[in-house]
Amino acid sequence: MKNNTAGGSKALTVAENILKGIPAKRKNLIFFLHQVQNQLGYFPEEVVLKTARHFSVSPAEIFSILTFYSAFKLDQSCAHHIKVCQGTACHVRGSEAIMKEFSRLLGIEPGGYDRRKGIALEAVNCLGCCAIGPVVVVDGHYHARVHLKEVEEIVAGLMTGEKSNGTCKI
Amino acid sequence: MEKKSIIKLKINDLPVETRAGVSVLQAARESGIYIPALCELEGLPPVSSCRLCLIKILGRASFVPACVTRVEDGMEVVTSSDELEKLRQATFEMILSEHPYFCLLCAEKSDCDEMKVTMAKAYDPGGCVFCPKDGHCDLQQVASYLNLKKVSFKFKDRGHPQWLRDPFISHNPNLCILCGRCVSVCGDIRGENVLTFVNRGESTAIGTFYNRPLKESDCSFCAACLDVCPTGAMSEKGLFQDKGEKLDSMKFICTLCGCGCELEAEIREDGSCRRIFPSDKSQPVFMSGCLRGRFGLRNLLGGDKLNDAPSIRTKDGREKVSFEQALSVLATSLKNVNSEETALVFSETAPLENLMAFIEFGQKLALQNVFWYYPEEFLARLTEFEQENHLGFDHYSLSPEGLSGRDSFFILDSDLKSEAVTLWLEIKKQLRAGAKMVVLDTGFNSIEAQAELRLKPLPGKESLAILSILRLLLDKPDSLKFYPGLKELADRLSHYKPEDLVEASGLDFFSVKTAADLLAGNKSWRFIFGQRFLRQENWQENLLAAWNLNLGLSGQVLPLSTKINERFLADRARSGQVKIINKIKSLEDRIKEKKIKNLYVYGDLPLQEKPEFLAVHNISFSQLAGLSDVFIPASFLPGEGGHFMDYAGRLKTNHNRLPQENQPQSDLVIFNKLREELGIAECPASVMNIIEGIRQETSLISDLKPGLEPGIKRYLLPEIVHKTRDNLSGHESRSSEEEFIIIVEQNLDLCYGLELPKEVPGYRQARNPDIVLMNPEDVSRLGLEAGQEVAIRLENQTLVRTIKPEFGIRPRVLVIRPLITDSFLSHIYRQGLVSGVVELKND
Repeated sequence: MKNNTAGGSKALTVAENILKGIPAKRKNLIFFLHQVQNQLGYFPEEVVLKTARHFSVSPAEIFSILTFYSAFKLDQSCAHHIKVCQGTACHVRGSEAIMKEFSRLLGIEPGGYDRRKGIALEAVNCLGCCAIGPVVVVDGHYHARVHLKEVEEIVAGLMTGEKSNGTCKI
Repeated sequence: MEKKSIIKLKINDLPVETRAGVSVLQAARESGIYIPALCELEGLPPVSSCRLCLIKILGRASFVPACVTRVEDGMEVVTSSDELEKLRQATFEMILSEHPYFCLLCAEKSDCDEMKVTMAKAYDPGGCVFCPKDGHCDLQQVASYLNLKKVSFKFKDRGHPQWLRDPFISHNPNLCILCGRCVSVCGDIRGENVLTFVNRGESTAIGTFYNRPLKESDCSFCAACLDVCPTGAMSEKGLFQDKGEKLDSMKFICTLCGCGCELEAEIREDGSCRRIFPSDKSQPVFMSGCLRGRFGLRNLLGGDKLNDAPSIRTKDGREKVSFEQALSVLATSLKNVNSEETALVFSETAPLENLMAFIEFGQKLALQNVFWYYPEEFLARLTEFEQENHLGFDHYSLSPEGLSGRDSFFILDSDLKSEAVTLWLEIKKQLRAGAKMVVLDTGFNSIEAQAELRLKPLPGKESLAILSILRLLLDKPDSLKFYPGLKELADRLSHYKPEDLVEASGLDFFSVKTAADLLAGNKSWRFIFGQRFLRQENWQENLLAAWNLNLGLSGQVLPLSTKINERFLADRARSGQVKIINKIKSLEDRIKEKKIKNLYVYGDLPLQEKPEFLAVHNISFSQLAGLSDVFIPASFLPGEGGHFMDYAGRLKTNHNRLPQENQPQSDLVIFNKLREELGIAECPASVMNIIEGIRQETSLISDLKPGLEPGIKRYLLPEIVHKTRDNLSGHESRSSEEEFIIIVEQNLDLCYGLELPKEVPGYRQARNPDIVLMNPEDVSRLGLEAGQEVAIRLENQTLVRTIKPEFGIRPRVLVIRPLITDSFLSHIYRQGLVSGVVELKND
């Protein structure tokens, strides 16, 4: 429990530092939430409470926003995050097979995660870049026109800890 | 008021006249035309999510929802046609695909009471037999309008778990149609912001912060969500439909705070109370009432604590006696004593005529010692200040015309939501209409999130905070109105740099500057003092600072009395008719010194020292009654006739209920009998005379500005000039890490001497008097955890409290809300601010 609070206050410090640079205007709320998501990877409760106070909105409202958008995570997620687009355009270009391949190689169900490996596999709907589909986003880096054969490469890169910068072959 | 022009339109060929700005749905409803609507409710911002109110407007290409379409001159509206009804039918069937719909179609429904067939059919919550809304459900109304015969979609059970962890309120998400009324009333109307939509798409549901139970979500259990829910999704816990039950309805005035809400109770044949709800149901969105009145009283009414028989104390305990016996015991003891050694004390919860009769009786009997127990002295302090300085505040009238969206509210140390919920609803309405609100509160305040600006100075430094605002306003030309003393005030304040004043008050410069800008930039300021503003050592400084600010801005004040009848009694106290006792300790000392041997208490007192003879005349058999030599049940039960005065000086009438067999005798009859027995019958208390007197009195109160000499307007000089900069802030030097300033909040959960958290199952979960609010920073600094018990050492006593982390208070400040049940608590409550040390609890 002690450890948890310590971790919590570290998260709080991160959030407070971000808050310092953002005027307490409601229109900045989502921007702030993205910043926290990027830097912390998830939203601990205290951060939500602090945010609510800063922006003068209710904690419940922020919770509503966090649960509405899939970009925000409530749990401390894994170190690596793989998003495979399942939108219409990607789907017709075979994203389902790509997802299955990821799932097979990682041993993680679509939508699931493996804490030990530190990898989460997520199916997302349309990332808004249909022209370069099928799209896979690994830790924020976009892989365009992913071929089934590339999946193994991406996974291997993750396993060895090599930072993949993604490719954007347009 | 802008002139509202008249709009003429046609609805279904019927000429309709209405005001501009009204929705077509409202116009139709006002002229008696029904358009089905599930999400719209008068008073709530329309969201047009149910899509049932689609109408055709001639000349427009597509159908539009009537709830968000404003009326226009010459508009021709068709509310019903084959095409529209087909659309509605389809929409409605889609809504029903996720709501158990068998109750709407079932052929056996008429026999259901006996056969209980739908239990098996209709899924949650066990069929319409156990649906809390069956018979009053909006879906049933729409189904009968559409003449629903079938639903084309297979019913999909969403399988959400029901909310069963909370007291008083339960929620069945599977009956929810996601209309959003509860979310809207919770946030927009009540300012609670507890309920919200969580998730999206088909998994959307009503939820709370991290889907916690309401009791852990800062929910005040106002029950507004129950009033607006169109289905049985939000319901009073454990309450099913009232089929076949014979219910007696009883209207009464709730006396548990200064609002005096008009409530209605449904009494079962066995005398128990089924439920309590606001008696005015015309506007479900703005129904008054709160946790105390609706759920607290529910368990007490019809319970044995409120209907106890008269009793006397004997060697072996208590013995129940008849009224006559009890009265003669009381009369005998009052007859044989020296009037100087007799004291009569009352609390304010009885109807005004009873209080007046008691006071009159007491004055005849024990000339010197008739007291009102008034530990806060809130309005008395205000009067004292006005008299001492020969001035009078301009009081804010709360008549409906007195409020407007152009008002600006400055709330001082008052959590309106818990202290006067009806006033809060009014102010919230004005906030939606564009009014501004600034909240200055040193402690916890649940409405400050709704404020344009919140100021949280150091406890006890409210006056410095206001003076620092004044200091900045003085720098702005013409922002303060000229009255004598302005120059002197400016001179005195200019001794200090604004930054120093701001720092000493514990605020930051930016907030104070924003406050000054807001005050200068907006008009018609209403200052609302909470009783905490004056329940502290330096109340005079606070009032003086507030007087100057109020004067400079030509504002008006509303001292928010949180006790019923407080305004009336304080007024009597000013004219010397009523004497106040403020310290329970001094009464106890006089009892110990045998200066008071006989005590007759009408109502309740947190007294622990028993005099030689103690008579308790109270509605409930409270702790004090347990000590008494004779206990007489009072008749000011809810439902008994009488008048009460609310926080705004308005008179509320409690209507007489039909007499019942075992009803206790009226207090007025009791006082008259006592007079007879004591031989002071020459002036019988005529009920009608007293009421008439009160009527005239209140008309005077509301007509006249209560200030004594309303003419004198001048600035007062604050006494800070001799202080150096360093000792401006006194509290800063604290000796140890564990030392805190403790704000003792008012707790209104003591009902006629009964502790609601103790007497009412579940109440403690909703509002726990044994918590201490602590800033999370302090919680982690001291290595504590939420929910942990700590001991708080105050003077030489220790209170055990459970920690609740709260960002809404300053670090180094604690907030406690004790029920005032003994003289020590009463002592620290009177001080308002005390310092204490937090220690780990020793087991």
